[in-house]
Amino acid sequence: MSLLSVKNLTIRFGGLVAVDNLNFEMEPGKITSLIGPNGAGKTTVINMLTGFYTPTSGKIILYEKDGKGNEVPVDITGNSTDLVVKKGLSRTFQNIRLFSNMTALDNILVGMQHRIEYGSFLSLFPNAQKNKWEKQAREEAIEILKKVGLEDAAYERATSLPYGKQRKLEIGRALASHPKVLLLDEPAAGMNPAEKKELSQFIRSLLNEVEGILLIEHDMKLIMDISDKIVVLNHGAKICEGKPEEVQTNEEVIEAYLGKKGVQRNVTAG
Amino acid sequence: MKTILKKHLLFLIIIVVMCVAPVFTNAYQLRILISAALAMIFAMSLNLLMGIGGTVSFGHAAFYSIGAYTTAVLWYHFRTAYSTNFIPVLLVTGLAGLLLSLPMSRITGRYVTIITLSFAEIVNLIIKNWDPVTLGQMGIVGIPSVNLFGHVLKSKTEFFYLTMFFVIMTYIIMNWLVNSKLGRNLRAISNDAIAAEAMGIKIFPYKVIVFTISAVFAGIAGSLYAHLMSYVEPSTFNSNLSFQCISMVVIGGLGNFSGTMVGALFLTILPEYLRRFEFLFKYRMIAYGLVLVIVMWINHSIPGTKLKNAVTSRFNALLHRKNAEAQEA
Ligand SMILES: Nc1ncnc2c1ncn2[C@@H]1O[C@H](COP(=O)(O)OP(=O)(O)OP(=O)(O)O)[C@@H](O)[C@H]1O
Ligand SMILES: [Mg+2]
Repeated sequence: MSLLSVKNLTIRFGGLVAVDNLNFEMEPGKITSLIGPNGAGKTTVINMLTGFYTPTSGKIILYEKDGKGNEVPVDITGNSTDLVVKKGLSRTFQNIRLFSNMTALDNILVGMQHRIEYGSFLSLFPNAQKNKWEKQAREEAIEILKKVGLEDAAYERATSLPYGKQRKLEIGRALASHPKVLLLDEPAAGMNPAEKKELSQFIRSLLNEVEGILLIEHDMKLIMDISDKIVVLNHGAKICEGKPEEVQTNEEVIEAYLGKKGVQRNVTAG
Repeated sequence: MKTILKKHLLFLIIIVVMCVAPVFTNAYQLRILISAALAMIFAMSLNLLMGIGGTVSFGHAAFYSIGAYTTAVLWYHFRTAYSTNFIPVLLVTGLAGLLLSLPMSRITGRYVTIITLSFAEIVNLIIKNWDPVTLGQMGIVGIPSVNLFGHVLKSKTEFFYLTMFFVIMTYIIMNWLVNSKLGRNLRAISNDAIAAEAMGIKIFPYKVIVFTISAVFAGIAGSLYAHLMSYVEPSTFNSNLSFQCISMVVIGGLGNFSGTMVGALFLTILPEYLRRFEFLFKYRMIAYGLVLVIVMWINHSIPGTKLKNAVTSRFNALLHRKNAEAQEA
């Protein structure tokens, strides 16, 4: 059983190999986390998965179910972003990127846009189909706002929301496209401990909405708490993969985070 | 119903006042009123592009001139009526808008300014030099009154109500557009193109659609202008006209269509009034200039923007820390 698999994924920017021959699998119903020091290539992986960057080599395979419930591998390598969204991948950004001058509700509605099926041309004229869709979409958007705890802020401008709520809104917007796989790039960045704790429960609860979550995070406590599997990147390459307790004790990981000295100190201390 | 009324109250007031106005105006004032109505259509079309689409076009006069010249040229060569020319006007201006939209999904900021400006210059050069078709510098004179399927609008009052019909239609259609998936996605693109892409929006077709529709409405205004003046010449459609149009939109508020109508009314009537005071009239361009500087500041293309962003982001960070501290306590 697999949800998404990344095979020998590599991307070069000129001389820099930002992601180097990366392999990992995401399983359904699980939170897979991607960690690593600054510049390790984590965001670049999300950018490749969602079609913002085209990999230099390697494959991204999404597993879909056919009518009989069999797994069918679909190659989404190098697909454009709009196709990837239709196939069921949706992301948030490391630096919040909301539609700042639009209301929270409109942000969600934009997230739903690929499911709203009246042609753009029909927007030119009032018609029953459009009215029906808009009404339904609004009701659903309110539901999504409730899920992320923003029902009171529906008509507030995105920028006027406090920081923690902006993060939640961005997750809500990603959920609005009904993704199979949700990709969260440092959702806890800039939050205080109380907010982080609340967020980690919230992320866990999202597994009821989506089939799998790929999480990038620097906060080790949060990562160890909620991950089912952790993939550790350093200089673009995977140095370790496993359950939280396995990764925690891996020497290469400690070395990547703390440097060689850190390992020695750890050893002497241990 | 009540909320709809409230939302469009300003629009309704303007329409009622303007439609009653001809009872009280003399011929000269009526002409100004017609110019204002044309400016409303023209400026609303630009507001779709600027306020909703997030693109400041410095060459919107190009579409106005193409609309004016399409109807003028067709009349000159084929003696066709206004109503016959109407569809060609839509097609030609729409095509011009589509052409200008092609590079727009790949450029931002000052490049948009340069390309829209040059587009208008090129259109103007073509009109000036394509003598066999446009009669070049001479212009086309003697364009008759509007002929609607055989019914000739003899009086300026009739013509005024025709333009008001188009003002109302423009406003209604703009509102349909804005309150739909199309308008929402356009605003999303202008807010943050990368986030819009992440939501599965393809930028290119949206730029094509918004430029085409915007151009078509500017073209409708231009074609009416040709029949109002009864002549067209290339020098009328200079960059000045584009700047005035931008000013109208900015005064009325980006994305606010009834506001644009006020802006158009204001900037059409005021210069006429200022004509009496030669000194003030001479300096009206300075006012336009100031408005433009403000537009550019808002649109991130001149220095000072970094400072503005730095200030707002620091402020947000500070606010957040305060909130966080309050929560922890
Ligand atoms: N478009 C690009 N062009 C050139 N280099 C890039 C590009 N995108 C990313 N890089 C480089 O790739 C490397 C990995 O960057 P990435 O943003 O993926 O790191 P990260 O693991 O997300 O780091 P952080 O924890 O700081 O967010 C960095 O050296 C970065 O400079
Ligand atoms: Mg990153």
